[in-house]
Amino acid sequence: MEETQFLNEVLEELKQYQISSKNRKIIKQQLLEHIQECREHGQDSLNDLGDTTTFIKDFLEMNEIDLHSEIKQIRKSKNRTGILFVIGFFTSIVTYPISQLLLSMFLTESFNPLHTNNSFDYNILYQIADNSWWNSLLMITSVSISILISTLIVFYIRKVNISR
Amino acid sequence: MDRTSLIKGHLEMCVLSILSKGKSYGYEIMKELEKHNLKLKGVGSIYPILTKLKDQEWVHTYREMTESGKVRVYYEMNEKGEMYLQKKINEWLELQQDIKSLLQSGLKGEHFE
Repeated sequence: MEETQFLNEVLEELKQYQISSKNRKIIKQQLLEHIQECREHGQDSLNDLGDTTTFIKDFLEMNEIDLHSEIKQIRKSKNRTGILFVIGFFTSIVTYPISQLLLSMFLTESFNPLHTNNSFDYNILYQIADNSWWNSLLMITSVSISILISTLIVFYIRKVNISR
Repeated sequence: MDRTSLIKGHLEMCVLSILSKGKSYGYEIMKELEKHNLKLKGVGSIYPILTKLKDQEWVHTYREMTESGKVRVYYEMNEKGEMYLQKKINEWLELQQDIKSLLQSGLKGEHFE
């Protein structure tokens, strides 16, 4: 039980220091093997493993990762999450009407001067087609497009920030 | 600099030296270091070193079944590793010689005073 706790704590902390999942998987395998070897040799694995803090400190040191700059980086990335959320929100607000406009231009009769329907009241946000089911379908398409584009933009910005 | 930090600084060379005698695995390497009074607090240093040796292609790794049926990862030094170890040993001996010469000159100075 204590061994599992040690392993989980180590993996959780390594994740916080943005150690890749590939490297976390490697260290998990190595630790499991070490625990197994200790058992086979009749030794207390916890004595060999040491404490979590020392393990993380040594791991970062051996991988030439500066602990202090990593902490700063983690703090920065937490601030960035909020900024990314705002960017994503505004991107979706901008892309939705653009998508609605494009769909109403190419897939509806709203901008066709020859087609007149007095009962139809055009609204770019929720009424772009006079047929209700077609209007709903186009609205769903616009919502999906705006979510997709904002998600892609957020992921792209995040990736660029991480690789810097 | 304390003893543990000094060991950590030379751990890569020590592990390669152990592997130069033949294939080994994490636990065995750690115990071999302990035999030579090179005990570390925990395993946080040894495993990243083994991963680094593998990434640098100084060692091959392969899995083998133990008698109890568990899988064990063995590390075996290759030619590239041997060359690197020789280079590191030479560097270390050179540095040791320089420090020794400096310390001896300091001692001689004391005698003159």
